[in-house]
Amino acid sequence: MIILLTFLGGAVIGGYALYQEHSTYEATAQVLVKFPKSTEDTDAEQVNIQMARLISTSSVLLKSNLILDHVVNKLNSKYNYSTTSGSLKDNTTVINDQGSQIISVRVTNNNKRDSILIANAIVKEFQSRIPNLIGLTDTTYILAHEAYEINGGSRTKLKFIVSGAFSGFMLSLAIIFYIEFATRFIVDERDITKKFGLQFLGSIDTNEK
Amino acid sequence: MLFKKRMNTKEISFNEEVQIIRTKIIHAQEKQPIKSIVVTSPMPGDGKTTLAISLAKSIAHTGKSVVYIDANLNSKTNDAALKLTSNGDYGLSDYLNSVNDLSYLQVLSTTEISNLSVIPNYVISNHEDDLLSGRRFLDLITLLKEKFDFLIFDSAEIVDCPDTMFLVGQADSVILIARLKHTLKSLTTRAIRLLQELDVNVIGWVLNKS
Repeated sequence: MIILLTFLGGAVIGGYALYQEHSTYEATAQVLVKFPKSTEDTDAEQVNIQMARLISTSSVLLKSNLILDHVVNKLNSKYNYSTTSGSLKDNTTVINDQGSQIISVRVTNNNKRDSILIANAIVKEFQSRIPNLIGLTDTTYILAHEAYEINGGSRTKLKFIVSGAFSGFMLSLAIIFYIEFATRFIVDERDITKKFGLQFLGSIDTNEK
Repeated sequence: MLFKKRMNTKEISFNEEVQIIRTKIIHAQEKQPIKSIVVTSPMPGDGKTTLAISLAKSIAHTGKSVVYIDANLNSKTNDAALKLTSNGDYGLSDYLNSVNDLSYLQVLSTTEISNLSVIPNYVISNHEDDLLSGRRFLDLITLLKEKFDFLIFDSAEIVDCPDTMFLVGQADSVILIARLKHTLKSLTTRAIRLLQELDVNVIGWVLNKS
């Protein structure tokens, strides 16, 4: 019984883990914001400040509904992928290191292919719309080609299976102890009355005496 | 519905529970005469002494003259539980060993309850002494039956105890007590089989819930 319950526990919990737990993948696409060409009339410092603002604004816009609503439509129409702006927002992180011209768009998804698809869709949509939004025309996007597993899904599943097997083992021990206890000692009047036909006279509690 | 629920869960006091058992014993008397009862159990610690003393007191309260005999020669009587008003220096073992050629009156003690007398045991004796299977004990039983309405014997456990097996054979009836989550089913089975083989009159059994 111990072996059976241990295996059963592992199978049940492991099966649940396989069904419920998913690996999470992360794909990163990037946007490169180019500096405008400087001339004798432009102040370098002013350009830097302006660029910093543009990059900062771009970072905000990348996760805004102004971009994501269109991404949702594009994904639905072109790739038959159904999602919402809210879901994209929750699963997207925009990162820009200070002083860097590169804005990274990281998208997490349970599906490897979808994480790449969404990251690339965001940067493409951004590039197409940002000129009309803030007049930023000189950008290039770098598409994601790979997604990486970030939550160690297979290790988590193994932990679940081991936990399940351990739980099954402990449960089997508990059941065995209970059965042993229940069958070893007198636990109620039926143990004697039913088995031997002796008349039950009554019960006392010697602790009450 | 609340009132009905309360009635179902009414707590019964210890004395009331003993009275119920007493009533069933008196009812059993209608089928055959019962003057002596042995209270025994499959194992030590099942509650024999408490039940035997309580039964003796309860029957005495009905006006019948009762003698409680501590025939468990493995241990000494706890005088405090019996609230003896007079007691001597001698008990059942002394009487059966014929120490100083004792009279039964010298080992008989009185209690707060006027109808209840006690023959305690003050000396732990060996089973090999076979005191309970001797002539002297049989004569004592005969004598006590003439003097008292009821004899209540407190005994040792019946399994693997020759003294108790002999004792139950001499009494009119037996009550078995078993304790919840303490008494082993295997020993209970052995005890009941023994009683069946000895062909004794088992009135019934009592469950000790402690």
